[in-house]
Amino acid sequence: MNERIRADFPIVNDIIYLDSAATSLTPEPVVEAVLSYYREYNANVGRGVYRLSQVVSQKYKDAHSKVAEFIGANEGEVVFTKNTTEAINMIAYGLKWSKGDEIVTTLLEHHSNFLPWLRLKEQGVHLKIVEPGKTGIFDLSDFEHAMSDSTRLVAVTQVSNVLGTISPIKEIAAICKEKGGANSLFLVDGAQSAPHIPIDVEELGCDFLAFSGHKMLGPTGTGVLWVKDPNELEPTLFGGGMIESVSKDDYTLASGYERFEAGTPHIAGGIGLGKAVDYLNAVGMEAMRSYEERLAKKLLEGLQGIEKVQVYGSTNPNERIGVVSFNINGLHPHDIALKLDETSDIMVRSGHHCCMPLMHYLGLKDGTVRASVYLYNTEGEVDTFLESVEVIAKGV
Amino acid sequence: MFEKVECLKFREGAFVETTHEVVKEEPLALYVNGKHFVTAMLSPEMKREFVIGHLFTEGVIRGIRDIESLRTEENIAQVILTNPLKVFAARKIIVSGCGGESSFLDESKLPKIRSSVKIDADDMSLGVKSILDSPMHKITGGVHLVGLFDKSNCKYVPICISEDIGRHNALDKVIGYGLINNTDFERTFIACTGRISSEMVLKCSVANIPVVASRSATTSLAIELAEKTGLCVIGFVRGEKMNVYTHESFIKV
Repeated sequence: MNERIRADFPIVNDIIYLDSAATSLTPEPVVEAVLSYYREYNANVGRGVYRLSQVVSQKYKDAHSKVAEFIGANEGEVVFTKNTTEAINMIAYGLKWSKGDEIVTTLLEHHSNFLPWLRLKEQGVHLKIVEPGKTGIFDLSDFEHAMSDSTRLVAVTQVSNVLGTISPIKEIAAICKEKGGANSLFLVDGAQSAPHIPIDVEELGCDFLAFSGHKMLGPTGTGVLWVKDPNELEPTLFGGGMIESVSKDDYTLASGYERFEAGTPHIAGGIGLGKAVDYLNAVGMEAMRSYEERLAKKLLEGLQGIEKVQVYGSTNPNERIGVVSFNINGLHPHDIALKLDETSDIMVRSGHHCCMPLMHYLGLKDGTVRASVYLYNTEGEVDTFLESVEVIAKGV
Repeated sequence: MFEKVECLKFREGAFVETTHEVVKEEPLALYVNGKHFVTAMLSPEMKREFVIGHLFTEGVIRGIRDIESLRTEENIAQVILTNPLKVFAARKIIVSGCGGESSFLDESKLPKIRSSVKIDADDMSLGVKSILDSPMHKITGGVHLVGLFDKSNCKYVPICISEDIGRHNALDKVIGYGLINNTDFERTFIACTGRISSEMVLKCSVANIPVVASRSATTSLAIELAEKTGLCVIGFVRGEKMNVYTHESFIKV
């Protein structure tokens, strides 16, 4: 990646940002797209015939098309949400559950792809949790054993937000179709993958894909739910903008994404997300992926070479992306993160990363420190980070 | 392109029920930045090209880069420009007061052809012949055909042929095609079947297409305008014969 890209992210002039797995930085064109909505054509979508309303409705629709194209989907199948969490909850609330239904998920999941299923236990839904190995790699036969005719939903993350490991989604999709019930559905949590790996929903073989706009250069408060068959899912919110017609006794839902977006949406955010997709396309997802692989390898190998540092997750660069969790013996993760900030202006995440069941499984009471890279990071920044970690480790 | 309709044939003093194929004509309401710009009656093919070409020849856009979004539905096309607040006026205003009198033409506002191309008279003859011979014309007859010709391996070939109920629409469509495909208009020419009107001359001049050649006639105002914009107007291209009305310097004899 080059200086021109970094010029679009002014924050990187002052600090080293290594927490893109939590939220990415926002490039100037996206900021500009959001501002220009408020400055130039501020109006509601799909509700007016006047000029501004026409302009904004078209731009908002275009943003859906761009995101759909980005993941190899059709426009009507992409719903804008406020984040991945909302997208996943829309599935939990929008599917009809029966007592005895089974949900297969994993111990790698972020709370947002775990709690919605845990909550369904109250409705008599059984939860089957597949455990990965300690490095975050699955044994596919565990999925085969977990699935049965009663499987209603399989919910798996494509990339672990703690370990950075990539799950074998296509293989799990095949098992889901073979072993799961006739009505079994497959949800992929793409929060950590969509920003970094080229995605084609057809290739993945899933029925739902959820991801966040704010982790892929978009504004906060933006997320996406891709739904293969919109008729499969009942909307969770009802109100303005989501119907074809309403009478005293009945209503007809709008077709396509509109039925899932009741009420005035985050218009500026949605348009900003469309711009973020433009930005990623212009950089090129494949080019970015190989660049990040290089940074990830450097990060991983560098950390492994520092005394007293424990690195978690697979050490095979092909099995992971640039999200690396580690600890320094004798130091609390929060203390490490604070020292990195205070001494070197480096921003990293620390704690349990919304993955308490996984932390418990790995025996990490206090969690880990997590460094994650994106297109605006440089090898020089990774070097500075590694030097700083080494200094901190030596001081213990 | 066609629609089969019921019709009554009048034969030997009586009606006979039959069906007949007629050319499709549909309205297309074009909105720019949410505002109604024009409703055109046209043949339903190549709507996207029409919209782009039309906005270009009307002076609303300077190129495809000025369009941020273009959505076409059945009878509606919606365009958002990169500047969503741009105030635009149809280029027609320039000539609306001329009434055929040269004194009313504001020359400073007319487009000027900038090209040094030399095209063989044979290429022009073959161009007009080739659109007349095109399967499309043979099937449809009666509709207007416009072909945009560009040089490829030292030979002029049609890069786009469009048919429409209106010759202005057909011309906008091939210009739109050229814009989408980044064609260098400076070295191209237009061959068409219909009369070369002042409107055709203006459209070619805006696009900087140096030559327009037709099987049919031209008009006095078209010649007057072409004289000023620098366009070479050629009429009655039949076999190897043709009438050159303006700027013959573009033709290699």
